Amino acid sequence: MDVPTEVIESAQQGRPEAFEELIRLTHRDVYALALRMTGNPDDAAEVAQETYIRLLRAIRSFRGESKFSTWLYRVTSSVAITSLRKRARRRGEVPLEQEDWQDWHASPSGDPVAELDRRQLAERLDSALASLRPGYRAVVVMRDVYGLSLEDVGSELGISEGAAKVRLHRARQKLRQLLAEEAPVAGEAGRPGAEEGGVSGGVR
Amino acid sequence: MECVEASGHLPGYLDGAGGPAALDVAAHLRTCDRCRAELDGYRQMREALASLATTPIEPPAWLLPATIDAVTARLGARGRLEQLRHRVPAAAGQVRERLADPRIAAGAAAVVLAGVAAGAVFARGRRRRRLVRARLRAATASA
Repeated sequence: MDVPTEVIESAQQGRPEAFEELIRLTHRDVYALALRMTGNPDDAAEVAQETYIRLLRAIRSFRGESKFSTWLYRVTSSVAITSLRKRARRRGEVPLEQEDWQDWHASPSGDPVAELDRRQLAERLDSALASLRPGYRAVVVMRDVYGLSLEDVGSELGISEGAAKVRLHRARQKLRQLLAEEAPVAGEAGRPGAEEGGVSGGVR
Repeated sequence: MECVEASGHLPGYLDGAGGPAALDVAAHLRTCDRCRAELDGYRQMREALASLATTPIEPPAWLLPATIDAVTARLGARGRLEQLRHRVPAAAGQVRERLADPRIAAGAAAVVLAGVAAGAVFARGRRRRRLVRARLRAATASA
């Protein structure tokens, strides 16, 4: 995402043509982040629109202390989290900030993920991300995909930086587990303990 | 340190996180091929995750024009509101400036007084007319 400074400054002055240009330059990235956070195209489109509505007022607070892309990712993440919260309430699910690692199991033995080549890994990541629980997906997407700080991640989710860190580590474990489950069986076959199907085999 | 324990630290070790266990994890990694492979898996996963940020996802075609419409409509409404906000104090300021001239102030006071007097005369006349109509009704009723 590359937005010229003069476009940002004109948008801060409320010029419609600058806003239009800003939207043209950034809407793909904003939509992609929204889709990765929500895992749903309809919700992602709604989040993208809402992000720009919020931006109308918020853009005046952008002081250039961080990159504009980082700042916009944060605004988008915030709108996406609001959308995820609403969805959780509507469906009677556990609120994002209270999600815990209830469904975690030990990783399979060996490391099939390390054996995937880059292209295979990239292809599988989006579907593995979509299978993560919303709270874990949000943390991984904000931190590992878009590079937001743990402080910002915690702040957006309404949890402490330490809690965000713990959640990130658990989400990475779960994501790796999901990728490993999809990895070719041949990747595990030659590894010690693969037949036992648990961490016990080959583990000291 | 055992593999099970080391494995639990690997997602954080990846970030270069220190902490009391970091030295033990490092020592374990020096002697354990399996945990080194697992760390490598995490590293590759993180690199692949970072590359997703530049992997384009095409939004639906309607999203761009719809978003531009929604935003410019809001900008238009906000612009009109701000114009109004500027106009009202400006008009009030002009009135204050004009009243500062004693001749205009005297003229304005005269107009206000004349208006008040005319209103009073009109109200008095209306009261009288009502009284006359009431007397007439009473007279015709008794006749």
